[in-house]
Amino acid sequence: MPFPKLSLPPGTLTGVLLAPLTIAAFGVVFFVLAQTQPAWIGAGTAQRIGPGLFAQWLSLGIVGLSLIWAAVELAVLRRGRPAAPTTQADADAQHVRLDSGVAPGLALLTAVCLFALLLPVAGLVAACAAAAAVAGWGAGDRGPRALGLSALLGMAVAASIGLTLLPPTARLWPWSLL
Amino acid sequence: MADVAAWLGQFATALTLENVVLCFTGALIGTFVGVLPGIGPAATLALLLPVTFTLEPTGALIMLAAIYYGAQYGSSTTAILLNLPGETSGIVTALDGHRLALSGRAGPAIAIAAISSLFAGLATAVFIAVAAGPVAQWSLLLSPAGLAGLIALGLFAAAVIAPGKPLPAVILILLGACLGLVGTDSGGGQPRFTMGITELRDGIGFVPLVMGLFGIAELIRALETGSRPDRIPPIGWPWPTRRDLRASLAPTLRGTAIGAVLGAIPGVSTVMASLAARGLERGFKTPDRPLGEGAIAGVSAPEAANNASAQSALIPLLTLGLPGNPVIAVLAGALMIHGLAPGPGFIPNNPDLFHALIASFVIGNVMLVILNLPLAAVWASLLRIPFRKLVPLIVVLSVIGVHSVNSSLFDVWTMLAFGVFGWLLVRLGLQPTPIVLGYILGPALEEYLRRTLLFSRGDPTVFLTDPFSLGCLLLIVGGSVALMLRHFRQSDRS
Repeated sequence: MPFPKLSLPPGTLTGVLLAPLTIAAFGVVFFVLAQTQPAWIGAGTAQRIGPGLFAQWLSLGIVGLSLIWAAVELAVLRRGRPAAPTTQADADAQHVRLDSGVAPGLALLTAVCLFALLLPVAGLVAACAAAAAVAGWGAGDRGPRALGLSALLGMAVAASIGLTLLPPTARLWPWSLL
Repeated sequence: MADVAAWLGQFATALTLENVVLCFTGALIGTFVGVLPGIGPAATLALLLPVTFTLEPTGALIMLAAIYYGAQYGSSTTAILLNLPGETSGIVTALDGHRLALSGRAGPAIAIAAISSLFAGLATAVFIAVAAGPVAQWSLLLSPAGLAGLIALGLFAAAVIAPGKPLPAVILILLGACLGLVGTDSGGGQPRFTMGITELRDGIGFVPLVMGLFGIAELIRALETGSRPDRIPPIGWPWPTRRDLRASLAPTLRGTAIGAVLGAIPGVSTVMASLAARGLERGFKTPDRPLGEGAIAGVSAPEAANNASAQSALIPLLTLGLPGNPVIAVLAGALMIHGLAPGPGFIPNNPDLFHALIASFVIGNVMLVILNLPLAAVWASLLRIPFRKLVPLIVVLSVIGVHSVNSSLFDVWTMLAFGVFGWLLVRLGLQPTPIVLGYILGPALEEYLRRTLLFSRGDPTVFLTDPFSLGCLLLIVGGSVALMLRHFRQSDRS
C-alpha cells in the first residue's frame, strides 16, 4: 500500500526524529561496548552471570524502544496532528527549544571547561576568576565593569573556600606552581 | 505505638546543637531556593553534596531533607505574592493565593499556607514514623525476584506518572541504568563500559553526574527561560481571621491525607499531589469564595498536600530503596556516598538515623513557619536580585565542589560532559530526571536479577512463579496496555 505523500514544513521530520534517534545512537554505543563482555561465564552451565548480560539487555532495550518511539512520532506526523504539549514540563521544554539562543549554554559550558584547563597551570583562584567571568558573560553581564566584578567574585569565593577547605587538594595561586 | 515512642525518644538525638543548626541551615537554604525561580531543590542538593562529606550521615540527611521541604514553604510565598513560584508545586497555590494577594489579603494567604504546611509536616512525620516500620519489616520478606520486580515496577511508575511522555522516560531510565553499570562489575570484578579509562573503574561519580545534569543544565535552562517581577505587592498584617482558619481546616486535613498517601507512590511529584488536593476540593463547597477566585481552600489544600508528599516520598526510599523523584534520588545518592544503602534493611539497621530524621521534620517545620511567616516580605524582596548576578557564584561553587570531592579534574570533565548531555536533553525537549533514577536503581536491579538467576540456575521463569514478582510484572504489562489504549483513543478522537 503506497504511503500518502507528506507535505511538511522544512525541518519538521528532523525535529520529530532527532530525539529518538539521538538516544538510539547512545543505545547503539552501549550495545557495541556490551558485546565485548561475556553474558555468561561457563556457557551452558549457567553457573555465573557475566558482566555483559544485563548490559546487553539494557542497551537492546534502549535501541528497540527508541525505534518504537520514532515510529510513534512518525505515525503522529502522518496523521497531520502536531504533537501538542500535554504538560507544563513539555510546554517548558518546547519553549526552550523554540525561543532561545545557544549563547548562555555555550558560555556556561566554556566556563567549566576553562576551569578544568586553567586549574593545573594557573591555580584555583585564577581558574575560578576566569570561569566566573565567562559564566557572568553568558548570564548577560557583558560590560567590562560587570565582567570584572564577576571575576572578582569568583576569586573571592575561591580564595575564601580554598584557604579554609582546599589547600591540600588544589594550588591556590599560580606562583605556588613555580 | 512503639514506633512513635522510639521516635519521641530520638528527639534528644535530633535536638543536638549541631543537628539543630544543620536543620536551620537546610530550612534557610530551602526557603531561599524555593523563593528564587531557576534554582530548584534538586540542583541545590546536588550543589551541597560535597559539603555533606564533612558531616555525620544523620546531620547531612537532616540538612538535605530540610532543603527539600523548605523549598515547598519558600515557593508558596512568591507564588502568592507574585504569581511566580520558585518551585513547581507553588503553581497550584498561585491559582487562588495570588487572587487573595491582589485583593489585599496577601498576609492571611501566606499565613494559611504556612499553617497548613506546618500541620501537614507534623502529621506526615507521625505517619512516616508509624507506616515506615511495618513496610520495612515486610520488605525484608521479599525474595530477590520480588525485589527485582518491585524495582522494575517503581521505575515504570516513575516514568509513567512523571511529567512528559512515558516512553522517552522509560528509555532514559534504561540509559541511566547503563551509566550506573559503568565501572567494575560487582559479580566478577571485570571492568565494564570503561573504554580503558582507569578513572572509570570506580564508576561514574554521582556528584559530577548530578551536578552536570541538574546543576549546569538546569542553570542553562533557567537562563534561557527566566523572568523577574518589577513590583512586589504589600503583605500587610499576616494573621488570618477565625473565618479563614475555619475555612482552611477541612481542606488542610484532606490535603494532608492525599499528599501523604500520594507522596509514598514512586513518581508522584509534589506538584501532582497539590493538583490532586485541589481537584479533591472541587467536590466540596468552599465557605468563602469559589475555588479559583481567591478561596482559602485553594491555598491550604495544595500547600498541605505538597509538604506532606515531600516528606512521605521518603517512605519508598528508606523502606524499599525506590527514589520516586529527582530530589529523593539525590538524597539517595547522598546516603550512598555516606556508605548507607537505602532499601530493605535500612531502617532496622539504622534506627537512630531514621528516628532522628523524622524528629527533625518536626523541628524543621516549626523553624520554617518562624522563618517564613514574619519574613515573607524579606524573602519576596530577594527576587529583586537579578538571576544573572547569581550565575557566576553558582558555577564557581559547582566546579570547586565537584573538584573537591576527589581532588580530581576528571570529575570536572565528567560534570562538563553531563552538562553538555543535560543541555542536549533540554533542547530535545526531554527531562534528565529519569537518568538519575536509572543510574541509582540500575545496579540494584542487576544485583537482584543476578541473584535470582543464580538461584534458579539461569531459569527466567522464576519471575513468573514468584507471586510478588508476577504481580509487579502484571501491573507493568497492564499499565503499558492501558497507556497504549489511551494513546490510541486520543489519536482517534483528534
